[in-house]
Amino acid sequence: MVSDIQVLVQRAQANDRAAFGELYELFCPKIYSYMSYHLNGRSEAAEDLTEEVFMKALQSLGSFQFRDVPFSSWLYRIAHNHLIDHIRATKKQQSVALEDAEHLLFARDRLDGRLDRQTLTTALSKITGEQRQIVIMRIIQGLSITETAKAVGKSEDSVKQLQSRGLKALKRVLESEPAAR
Amino acid sequence: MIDPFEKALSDFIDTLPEDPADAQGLLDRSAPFQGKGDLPELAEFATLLRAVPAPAPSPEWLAASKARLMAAPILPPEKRSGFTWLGTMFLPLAQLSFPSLRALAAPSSPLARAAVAMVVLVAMLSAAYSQSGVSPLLQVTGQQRAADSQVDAERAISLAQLEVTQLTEQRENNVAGAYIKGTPRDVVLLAQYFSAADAAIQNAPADQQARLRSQLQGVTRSIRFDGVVDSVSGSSASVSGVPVVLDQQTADRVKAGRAVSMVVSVGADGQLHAVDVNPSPAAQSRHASTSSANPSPASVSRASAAAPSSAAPSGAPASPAPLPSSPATGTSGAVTPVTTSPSTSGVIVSSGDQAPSSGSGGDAGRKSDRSKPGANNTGDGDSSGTGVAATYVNVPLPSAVPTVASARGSDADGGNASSQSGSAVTNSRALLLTVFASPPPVPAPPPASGSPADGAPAGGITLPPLPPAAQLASLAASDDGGSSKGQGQIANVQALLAQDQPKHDQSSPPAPPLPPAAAARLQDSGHNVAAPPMAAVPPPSSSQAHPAPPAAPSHPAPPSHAGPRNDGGGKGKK
Repeated sequence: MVSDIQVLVQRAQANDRAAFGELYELFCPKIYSYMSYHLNGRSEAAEDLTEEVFMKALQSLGSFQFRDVPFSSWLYRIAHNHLIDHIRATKKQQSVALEDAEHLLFARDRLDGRLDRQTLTTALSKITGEQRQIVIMRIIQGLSITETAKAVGKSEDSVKQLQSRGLKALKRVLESEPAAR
Repeated sequence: MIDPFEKALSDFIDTLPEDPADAQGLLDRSAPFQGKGDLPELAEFATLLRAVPAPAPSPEWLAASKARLMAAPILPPEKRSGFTWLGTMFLPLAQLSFPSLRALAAPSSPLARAAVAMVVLVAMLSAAYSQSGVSPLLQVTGQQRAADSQVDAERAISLAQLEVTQLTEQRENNVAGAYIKGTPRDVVLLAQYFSAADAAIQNAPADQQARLRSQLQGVTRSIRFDGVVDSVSGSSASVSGVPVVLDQQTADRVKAGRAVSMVVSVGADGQLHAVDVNPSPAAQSRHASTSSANPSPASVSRASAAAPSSAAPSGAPASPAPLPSSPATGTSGAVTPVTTSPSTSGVIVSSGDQAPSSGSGGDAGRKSDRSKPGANNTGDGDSSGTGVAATYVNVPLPSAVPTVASARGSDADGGNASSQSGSAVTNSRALLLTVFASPPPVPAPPPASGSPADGAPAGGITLPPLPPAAQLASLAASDDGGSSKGQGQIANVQALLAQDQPKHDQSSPPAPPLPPAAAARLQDSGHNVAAPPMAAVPPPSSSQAHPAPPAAPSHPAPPSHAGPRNDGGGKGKK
């Protein structure tokens, strides 16, 4: 898999748009999911940001070098930085869209033993940014410790510590909000 | 150091299936997870999170977005060299453009430039080689300097006047127009002020110096201060650190280690010239008390409040005679040489028909005697019982005759009480009353007479006290209005008589002590030897303004402790 990604990246760096298209189809759902969880389920914003992330990746693909950083980590780092820029730009204009509000209002339809996505999104918004980032990458999206550590620029031990604390915090949030569950 | 629990949890998360459906199946099969601690619970929660289906973009948006990306041009990689970020930082500056200066239509002609250069050169040369040698600017500066020096001189004179005024206001017992009383520090400061003023006058314009000097001479230059003679060398002495220039005669009399009360005049060069030197009252009192033959408390107190002549009857060595006064040497010429009794500490001056109110005199006595151990008035027989007050004299004098009444009392409140009663005569036998007139009607005694009564200054009119007989009679006849009793009072009377006798007649021998019979009678009768009520004190006669006859009965003489004033003694007892 990694080798396939590496070949695709090398081809994309050689101005092979088809290869970049394959990379896009491979990572776009994850980046979109990442953005969506961080944006409290706002799909439109997540779509816009995801497209902008891949646009940046396309423009910066020539400077990417396979050394110690996996391509996924590099891409998640671009996504994270872009997300931060977006959050900073819209920090004073944060508002819950009507669509998202409806999701929040009807987010109680979680069955026994199942967790609703919107509930999870709401609970994720109530933990710290680092914990949220690690939980999303590591647990929800299944990135490895190494990829997550490279993406967030932390050590693997820090990632393990953050994921443990993030899980506890998220579990505490979900337990403290019976309405959300 | 990773926690084993976190490591185990991380390993478990790595084993979770990527597909949410598979994770949900694992959760359905294994839940609840078994194990110890929080690990199973968190592992189950992580599986639950993994089982949540991730949000996915719509296929339409995915296709459209992919199409846009495929059509997007790839920009050439930005060439970055060193300090690229600096270039981006200063990019706005690099894009700035400055307006270009408009070029002159026609350059100035060389002739005009040469003309301007010549004008500047000539001006500089004329300033550098002026025939007068002094630039007009420098001349203006010189005039300004002269004006400044005049202003400085006037300012220095004003400062000296201000210093004198402040000293006059601070001290209640100053002699207006004659001298002021201050501390050695005041003397030094005043000398510095005058020295600075003199120096400033010398720097002032010549035509203004005379006026400025006359203005400075109008300032009182004499100041009295008490101090201890540190050293005497030749015609100079150091009194409490103050260098003073003495005349030879005075320098011979002043000895190191003695406390003196000195009137000095500030000379033109800032030197301090001694005008009058007297033994300090404090030293005088100590000397008198130690030389008393019968140093009972009453006599000690009396001696402390009396003239040094009180020790004469006992045959003890007389207290040092006051130094003769010398004429004022101050440049002002307005200094009146005033010599007070050796025991005088409060000085009152009056140039009117009457002596001033005794309030100031009483204050003077208060100031001078508060700190002396033997000067307190307890008002009872065990102690002095004297209640000697600072006194005043209500003596009609010819107008325009400066009168100096010096008084000393051991009771601070005495002076005030006398002032309240309005009595013309003090009730204190310890009063040393000296009225000076100018010109002196009585020739000055020889400076080295050695008599304690020589404290009367040259030119002074000494009002004689009551003769001993009359005094005794008045004492015996007086009502017992106080609490003084016993032997102490008799000794007190003896001391009074002894002190008054030399003042009565300076050439006469000391008065004999109190007759034993009278003393015994007084003691047995229990009569108070204190002064009669103020109303009983006869008013001063008209002869007080003149050289008084030896037996002038008009002067009060009873011992103190009289009337309401001597409540101060009782006050002390309380």
